Amino acid sequence: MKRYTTKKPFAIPTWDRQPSFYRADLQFHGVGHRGDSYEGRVFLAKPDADPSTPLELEAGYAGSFYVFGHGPCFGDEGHCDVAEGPPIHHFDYRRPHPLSGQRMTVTITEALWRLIATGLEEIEVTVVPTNARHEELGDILHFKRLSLVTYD
Amino acid sequence: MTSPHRSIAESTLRLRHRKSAEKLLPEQLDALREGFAKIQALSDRNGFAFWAGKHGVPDDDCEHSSEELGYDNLFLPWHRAYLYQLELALQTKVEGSFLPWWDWPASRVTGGIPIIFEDVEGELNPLAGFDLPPLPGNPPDWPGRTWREPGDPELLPEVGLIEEIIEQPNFDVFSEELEVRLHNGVHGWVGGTMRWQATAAYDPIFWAHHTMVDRIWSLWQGKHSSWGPRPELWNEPLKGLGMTVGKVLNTTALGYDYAASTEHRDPEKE
Repeated sequence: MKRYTTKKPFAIPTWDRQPSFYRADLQFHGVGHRGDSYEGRVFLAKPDADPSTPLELEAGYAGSFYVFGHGPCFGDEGHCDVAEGPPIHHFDYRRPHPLSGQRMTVTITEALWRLIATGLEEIEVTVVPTNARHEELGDILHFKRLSLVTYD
Repeated sequence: MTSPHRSIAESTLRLRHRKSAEKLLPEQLDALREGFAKIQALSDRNGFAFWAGKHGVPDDDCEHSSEELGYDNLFLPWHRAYLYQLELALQTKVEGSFLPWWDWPASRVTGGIPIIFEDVEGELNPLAGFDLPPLPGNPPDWPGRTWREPGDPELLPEVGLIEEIIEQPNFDVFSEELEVRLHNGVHGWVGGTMRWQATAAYDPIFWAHHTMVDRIWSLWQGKHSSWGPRPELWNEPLKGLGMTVGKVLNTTALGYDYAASTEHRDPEKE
């Protein structure tokens, strides 16, 4: 996808309207990396964010993750196909396929504390993939699950 | 006959110090350029193309993080062994040459790629690029040489972020943060062939970039008095490099460190 905004917002964990955590992470699971490299800029409560949005807490910016893309496929047919499921048999000791999904973690504690202070009870998360020249990219953002994880 | 076993005390005196690419002495830079030029001219297993091809296309041996169950992250040991092998190839051709590290925060100030990696007018600079060998599955518009499209220098890592990551006490978390928050972003920042895992190692700046990554691991090891990977992994082979995790834990045993300067006192000989 080109960019992503949660369709269903995350509830912000609070206790008596105060943060009930000392740290909060957004975890992106199964992040694909078969194309170009990019920076995934993460914004909270800012669905209209774009590459020109300042990278400041006040503008809704919470942090970034960076994907090192594999590039185009240089192999034969099936070279870049990642087999799903367990190894082919009990004696398959091979390392995972180089294109198997990755996990990216963005710590958003400060950004979330700031939003709690404004009275917000839930947040939309927006991810804008950009390159290092602040340009928005095409269909490059792929992941299987996004989790908000807090620690108390 | 001398013993094949070398003591750490003796090795310390023979260590090579990998330096910042911004601070090489003229003779150090000359040795580096000569070494790169010589190995770039080779097409056999001592050559630059052979080693560059191990990272991505055609061998695809490199290790990066993965979310597969039961997978252990060998990103740092694999790349340390990789640098070691390339540095040996350089030193076989030019004694005294060594891999420098790319000081990313300094490049925020100087405006981008360290000058030693840029084209020099009227001269061939082997650190500026490399003529790509024929690769399997070349896209039709594939250029014949590596290229770069550097981004906004302010997006390069700040000192504070590097220090924050070195503070991380858990090795697995440290390794993932170093890879994802620092290493990945700089690959994308350089752009061109460096932005793809498949082709990155063909750009000579790749080696300075990864030497910086290795330096940060070395600084972490010193700060936390730990090698990092847990002992159960020490016998794990590093794909395509003929070494194990345990073999690359200690940079002293590999003959180098990252000291900016050293001075020794030997009480028995003073």
